[in-house]
Amino acid sequence: MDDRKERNTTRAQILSVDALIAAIAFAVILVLALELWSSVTEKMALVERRSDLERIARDAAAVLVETPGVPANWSNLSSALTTDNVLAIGLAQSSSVNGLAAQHASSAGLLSRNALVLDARKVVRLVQLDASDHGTVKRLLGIAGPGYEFALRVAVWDGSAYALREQLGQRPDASAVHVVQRERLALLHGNWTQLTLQVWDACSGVLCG
Amino acid sequence: MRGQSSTELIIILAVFFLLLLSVLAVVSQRDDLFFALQPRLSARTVADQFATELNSVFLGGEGTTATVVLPAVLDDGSPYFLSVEPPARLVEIRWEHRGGVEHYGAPLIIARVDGTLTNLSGAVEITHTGSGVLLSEREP
Repeated sequence: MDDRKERNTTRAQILSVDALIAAIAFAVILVLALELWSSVTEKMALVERRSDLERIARDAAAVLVETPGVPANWSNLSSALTTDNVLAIGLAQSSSVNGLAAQHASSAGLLSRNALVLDARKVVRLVQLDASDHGTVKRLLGIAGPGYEFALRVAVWDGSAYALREQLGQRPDASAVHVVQRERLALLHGNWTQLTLQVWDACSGVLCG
Repeated sequence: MRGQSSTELIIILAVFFLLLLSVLAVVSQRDDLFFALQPRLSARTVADQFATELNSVFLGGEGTTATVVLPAVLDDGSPYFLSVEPPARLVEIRWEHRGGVEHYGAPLIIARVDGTLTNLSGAVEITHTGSGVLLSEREP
């Protein structure tokens, strides 16, 4: 009788609440580990997005300052500017570095005129185009991505500071998650000019948390 | 005593079963995410690298040349289809994933791209021709 009682007690101990608690603890740890993995994945996605914006900002700033665009006289086109008649946009004068590079040197560092010269008409036309069709300017600059936006400021050195001359695009607002800024210097009417390009993304989905 | 043991056994087994189901559900969900993420990241890398090279060649000016060697498949072994869409200013990559086709586009800053534009593979030479960019496949 005592033996049977002891056997029953032992059997009950194997299937005790202890085992259940251990299983719950195991499950909780496992779920926490998976949540941690999920958080790392989200962080990776954010880093990816930031790196995407940086690449886009670098290319967009470079194409504006270093190239005259395709066609080089796009600012003189009488028709409305579209992504069909402007194959690439650029603010540099047709004879600036990119045009000279192939003819005279293999590196910009070898040129005597190594400052990048902007065409004032192109700057004005770009501002006008942005006011009438912001989407086209975004596409021309290669700013394509979910919720991606940009703002461009053109400021000219007045002897003591850079004074704002033109600005276009949409400045980052409260919904901005990442803001990547690229500054390039060039000459406009013989004055040092600072182009500040901000490329940013508005929050979407889980990024809005 | 025997009846008490079997009731306890049933309750504990039921709780274990529920725990197992919930853990499996979470694991399965994460597993799906991981297997979707791996080819997507790999595809993005391929398209972004190609677009970056193409943009750099355009920015480099006339005479600039670069060669990009494209991988045969994505990191997870999936085949892919890479093409350049000048009107859309995109390098587009498509790949199959669980019976469906996924795609991603990397932006370009130039719309005048000529030469081999679809089904790019192997070594691709990118040349700035003066008026635009030319793509040509060549032996690696």
